[in-house]
Amino acid sequence: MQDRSGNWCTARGRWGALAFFLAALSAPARGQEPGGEAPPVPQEPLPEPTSGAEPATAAPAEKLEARPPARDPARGYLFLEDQPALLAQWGESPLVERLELGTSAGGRELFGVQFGAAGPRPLAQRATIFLIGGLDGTSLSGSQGVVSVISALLAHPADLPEEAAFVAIPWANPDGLARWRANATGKGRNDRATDDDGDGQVDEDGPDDLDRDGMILEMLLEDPTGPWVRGSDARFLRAAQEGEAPRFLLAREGADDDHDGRFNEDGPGGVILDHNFPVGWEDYRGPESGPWPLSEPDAKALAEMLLARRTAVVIVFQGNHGELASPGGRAQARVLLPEDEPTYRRLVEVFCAHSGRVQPRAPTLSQAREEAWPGSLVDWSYAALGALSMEIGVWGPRVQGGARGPVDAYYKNGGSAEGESPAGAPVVEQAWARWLDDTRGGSGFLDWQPIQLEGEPSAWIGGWEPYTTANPPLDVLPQALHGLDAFVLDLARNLPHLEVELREAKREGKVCLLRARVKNLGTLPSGVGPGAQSSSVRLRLEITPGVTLRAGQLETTVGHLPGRGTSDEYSWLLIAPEGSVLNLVVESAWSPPSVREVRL
Amino acid sequence: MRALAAALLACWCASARTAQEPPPAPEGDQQQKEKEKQQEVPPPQPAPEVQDPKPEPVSELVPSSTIGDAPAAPVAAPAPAHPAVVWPLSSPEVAQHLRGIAAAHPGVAALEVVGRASNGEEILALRLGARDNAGPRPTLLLLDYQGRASCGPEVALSVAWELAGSFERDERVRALLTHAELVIAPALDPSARAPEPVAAPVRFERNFPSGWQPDTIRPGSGRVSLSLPEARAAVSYLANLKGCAVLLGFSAPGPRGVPYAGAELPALDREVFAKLGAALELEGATAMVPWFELGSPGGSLFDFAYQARGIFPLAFPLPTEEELGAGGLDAYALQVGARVLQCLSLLPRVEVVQEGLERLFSDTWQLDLRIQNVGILPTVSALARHRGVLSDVVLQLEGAKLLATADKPANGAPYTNASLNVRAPLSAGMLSGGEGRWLRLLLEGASGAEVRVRAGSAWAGSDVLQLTLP
Repeated sequence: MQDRSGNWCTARGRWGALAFFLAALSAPARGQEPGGEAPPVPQEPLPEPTSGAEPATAAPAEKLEARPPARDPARGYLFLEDQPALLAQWGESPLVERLELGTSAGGRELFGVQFGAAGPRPLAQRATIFLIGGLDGTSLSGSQGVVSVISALLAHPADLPEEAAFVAIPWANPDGLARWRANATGKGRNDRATDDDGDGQVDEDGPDDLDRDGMILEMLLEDPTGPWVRGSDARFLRAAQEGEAPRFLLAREGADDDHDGRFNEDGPGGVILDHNFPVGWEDYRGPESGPWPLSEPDAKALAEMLLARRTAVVIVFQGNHGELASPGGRAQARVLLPEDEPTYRRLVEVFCAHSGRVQPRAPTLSQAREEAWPGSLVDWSYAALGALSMEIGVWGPRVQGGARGPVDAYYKNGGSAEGESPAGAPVVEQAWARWLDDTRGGSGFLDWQPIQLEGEPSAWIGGWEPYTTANPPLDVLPQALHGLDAFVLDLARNLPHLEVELREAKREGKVCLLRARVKNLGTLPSGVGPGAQSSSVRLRLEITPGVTLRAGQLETTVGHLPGRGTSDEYSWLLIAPEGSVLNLVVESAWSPPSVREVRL
Repeated sequence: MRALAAALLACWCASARTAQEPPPAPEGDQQQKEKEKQQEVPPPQPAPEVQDPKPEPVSELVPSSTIGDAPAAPVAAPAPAHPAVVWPLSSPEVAQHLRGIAAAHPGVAALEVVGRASNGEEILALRLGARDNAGPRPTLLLLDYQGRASCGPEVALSVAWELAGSFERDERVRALLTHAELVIAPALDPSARAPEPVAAPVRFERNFPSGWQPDTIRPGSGRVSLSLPEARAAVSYLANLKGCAVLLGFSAPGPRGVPYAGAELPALDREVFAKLGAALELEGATAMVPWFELGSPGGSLFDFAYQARGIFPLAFPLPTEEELGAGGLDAYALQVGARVLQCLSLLPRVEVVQEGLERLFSDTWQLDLRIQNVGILPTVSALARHRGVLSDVVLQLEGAKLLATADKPANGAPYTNASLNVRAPLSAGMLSGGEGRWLRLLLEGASGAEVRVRAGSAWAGSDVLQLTLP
């Protein structure tokens, strides 16, 4: 891959085949429905350690069949309780190390591993690719994406570049994911108890399964001041216009537990971790963004981990937009620098090449999500650390439809946030409706059913079932995961690789002249983001006692180098005894030091 | 207000207790005045002569001790001279003064630890308020975090010494500090007060989250906001200071600007800032600077206070070093002290007033109430309300069963909006400065029952109306 010019090396071929193979493996038994509490993990005997480092040539199908996922994917998404089995599976590789990252506000473990090819440099000193799943607290498919990438990469360790390290945190918001997994509530908020409605009580009015159908859906309340009316497709709502009736309020299914006239306005849960990072942190989102940035232990642990490493790439697998999104969670505040836009456009192309998706644009976070997404990990890691950061929506309305699926209407206006169809229903809702009708036969949306609520004139319950729009039905999950591993490997193989190229070293008596420049042998740029000083390439001359520098700088800031790029030439004039040995060292925020020894 | 402030200044200058009218109640509220009269303590006595404070080296201040074991100062005894506060003080010297005040005036002053600085030093705050009133009260925060060029800490300490001493001899100060609290945090960034401060890579005033940009964009702001322990401590302390409506700080003199792009300022709050600024005007003193004129590029403590917590921040313009060198510290401290006192009297404060009680049936009663904000500040800022930071004024009823409610828009208007659909707790919403709400409660209760109606909010404290059903 590269940023502004040159060729990107894609790892297709066997990896593409492997990705398809993983998809096939993950396919659930036909007829199984997701949802509800998953059954206990089947006790698997610990697999025998593999002998030698032969996986590169081993048939992937056989290896993976010998080590199935800990949980039968037909019965549910993997979660924290699957760690032991996953670790047993991954732990066959000596390359995997478990990370101690602490716990969430709710006391759940923030589970993470790091791994990388065997190499001369410790993992902690390498350029690091972070794989973060489900930080939004709802995207179980994002977590599954991280798990599948880990498994696929570890299945072929010989393919891993030895200069890269991977840090993977599949369930980055364990509290939010746990609640979402249990009953699809909480909007991904963690277990911080908050007083959302300012009545002095915490978490006292949350959703309830009023009709006892095992699901918590949406609820319509007839209200003359409500903002919604039923659309021409009676399943969906549209914004009410003047004079229209009947009007509705929309809430989650549940009673007015605290009898304050409002429904489910203070349910369990507090902070959405992906609004708890500093860049673009919005004071006014209330409890969802936290009292201050990094107030939550798991968000803080993540930030500390990123700060401690050579953070080159951050991929957050989450969201149901199905796209690769660049930094920019606030519509009014531009985060992405114009000079980095070509890099992200190329990333989208490569992502589509691996995943088989069609993505006609390179949206920012807020564009992809059709809403502001402030205080995100992606924005902070790009703007503050200079990392190549992105969000990948593992699931979306067009993922199952394929390249030319039935939901192209969604993109007719470029997916703009203000888009509403003539019928009034939001465009994105229509896209999901088409997915539902054209690929699922309409199964997955429960029509609105009346229910009697105390003190309320009319109410209805209905809406999208769990495992439709927020996360894919399990039978579609393999399709959603397709190509993620190959994309990640491609990124790892194309990380910048800095070297000092010695152009001249000559001596006249005791006077020596050195001329050198820096080359980026990788196809990704040496860095991105606004941190020109802190993340740029630095060239350093290390001299030994007895050597004096007469002209030139001991340390020079080179700036960012494009993929396959070369810096200007730098010169040094030295007084050095014969046989002196000097070092020219180049490094950047992403790239560990590369030393070129010069004997004069 | 201007006249009152001038009178306060004169009062302080004379260091004598004088009988003054309490801050005027809004809209000439007769019942309010009566209530205040009942709360007033005996008429003021002639002030004891205050000794000239003898300058003492800081090391001879009252030794630090825990609040509990400090000897209680005798009530009504002549105010002891306090150690001189000399500009500039180091952070340990500031702490020593704070400990000294807490030890010398345990009836009104209590020391609190805000947090710990990166050099291990404790960051201290002093809470001034009648210790025998443990309930939540409206709170005013006076703080500084700047280096030795600022005389904010020294002035804050002078004010603290004076107020703590006055509490024991001046009924007016005692009344103010019974209804409200003053929290003084003079050195939130202790390292900045070092005689030769080391240039830190991350600066305190750029490390707060509201409007923050990473140091890749704005040097000195850090790679994460709140990376400084001092900033984290300040934010945490502020978040827990639930009753804090106004924050007073210090700013260098200079041209004013506008806040960073993206900062919000609802029109209602702009009006409150203007009203507050006008009420704190003082003859001969430079006007105070509201937060939005400080021209912050984002990332400051003041930005966080208003944007995230909805607290109204204002700054005292600092005198120049030449003015300070010419002995202007005392005059400046007097003006700051007068404005602090004035500001305490402007804080929102809720009161419940009974306007009528009628027996409808043998066990059914009609109780008419007025909920009044007697301060000039609202019970919550528009921004805080919009962001859900603080709650409305809430009413709680004990001793009788609530059957129905009604309200009326103004005094003299008929009660309307009768509702049997009663939900607890009752909300009186947000009350602007001086605003009242009228509420009629239909109660079920036996004769002789003790009924309590409590109204309160985070900013405005609480008030309880107690009555016995006849």
